[in-house]
Amino acid sequence: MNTIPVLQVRNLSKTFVLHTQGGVSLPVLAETSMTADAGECVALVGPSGAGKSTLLRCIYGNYRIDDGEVLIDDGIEVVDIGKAEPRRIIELRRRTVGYVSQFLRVVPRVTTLDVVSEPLRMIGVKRDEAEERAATLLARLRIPERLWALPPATFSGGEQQRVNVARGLVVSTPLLLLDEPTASLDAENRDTVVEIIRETVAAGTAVVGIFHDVEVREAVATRFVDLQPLTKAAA
Amino acid sequence: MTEREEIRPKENGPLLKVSSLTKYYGTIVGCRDVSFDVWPGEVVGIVGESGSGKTTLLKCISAALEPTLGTVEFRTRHDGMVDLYKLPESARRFLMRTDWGFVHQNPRDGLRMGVSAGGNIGERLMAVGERHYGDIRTTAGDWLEKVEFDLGRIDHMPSTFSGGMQQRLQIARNLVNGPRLVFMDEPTGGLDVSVQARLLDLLRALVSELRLSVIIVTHDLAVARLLAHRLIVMRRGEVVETGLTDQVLDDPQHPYSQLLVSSVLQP
Repeated sequence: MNTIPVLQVRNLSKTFVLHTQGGVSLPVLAETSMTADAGECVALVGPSGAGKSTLLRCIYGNYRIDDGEVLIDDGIEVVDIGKAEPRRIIELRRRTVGYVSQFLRVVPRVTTLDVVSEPLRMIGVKRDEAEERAATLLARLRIPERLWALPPATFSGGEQQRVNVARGLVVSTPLLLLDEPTASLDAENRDTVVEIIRETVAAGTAVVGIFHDVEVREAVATRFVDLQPLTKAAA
Repeated sequence: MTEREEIRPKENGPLLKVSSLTKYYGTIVGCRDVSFDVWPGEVVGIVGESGSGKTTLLKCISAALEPTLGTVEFRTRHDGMVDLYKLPESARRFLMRTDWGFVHQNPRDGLRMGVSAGGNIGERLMAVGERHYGDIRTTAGDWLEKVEFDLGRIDHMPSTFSGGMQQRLQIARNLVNGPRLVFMDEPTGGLDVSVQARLLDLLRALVSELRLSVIIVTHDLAVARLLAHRLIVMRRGEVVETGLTDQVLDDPQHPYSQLLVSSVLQP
């Protein structure tokens, strides 16, 4: 068995300095450490402002890391996200790290089927197969087929969120980051997403997620990591 | 179109290497001490407000304006890295025809206005040795289709086209010989919003399917987010920040980048 966790966060610190607001300094994470192993679902818990989303974004390489390490094992080597070249992070995002954000970022004119199948095409899956796999997932998430040829910009919040989940999960990656994947979903769709997450974990993906819905959290999480807001020290 | 290939196995170094590039206009700084690499398949965005040195930089690296100091090296197909400004003019011109494309903000700067749409594309093919009229016309037609151009207008003059059509024609003209590096200067700049969206979508698809390396100058951060993998933020001729596109836009570090991002309605 592989003994190195897929994800290791070591002493991660992150402070936002707002130069346009007179240089206010907002420390959000200080020496945070955690790991995620293959086949487990780690739920980040803690009150608003504790830095849960910030931690996910640092792991994804979306936020810069001030101090500490985020180490991701892509099966070939362990990459330190804070020091990796942009093209290395882009490659990791294609095959190794999946991320479902809270909101779908829509691109004008791109159809739902293209939005969802694009991550597959980016790793070389042929268009037909990519579209078939995207269609299967969209159908499972109850996005009506008549919407697939439309750009998701005009969809309801719940529909957009399901398109977002589909896009994030269409490629199975060793590490998956979920930021409130069920936030605006009704009960039936929420249950479907829970089911898909459980299957993903069972298939060996390491999942790190934020789930405010207690039922969802209890249903998917195999372990909890507690984050607390930093006491306001710096100014 | 060709299938996308994975970046890592084939990469053996950057395609373009810019080192300490500096351009003075007399005593005025155009750009100063700029260094960066562009790797195969990478789309690099250069952002910053008007007068920040973006266009000067683009001109210097595309062999249109000799820098005061510094070097621009390009990986040729057969001879490895060459210093652009040490090449004889003829060799530089040859590279421009065979390996590079340049999409100007104003299509009039990149098109031959007195030549038909088909001719604009055919001319590029002839420049690299194509001679068979039928083949040239077929290829031109294929490319016009790729850029969603009405084939019924293949024999019409560019001056009779809308701005969006002209821009799509310019893109086809620049991609027809399979360039390895494409420079783009505000490619969606002069177009209205709906036309812009369509063009952006087209550029996105082409760049990813052809695995092009692109250097794109834009002041529009939304365009940068859609197209670029990586950003270079410039101010007063100098690079103030570089990084992954979403990192620079979502977590800008430099005061100027923060100002730039926070000044946009929807970045």
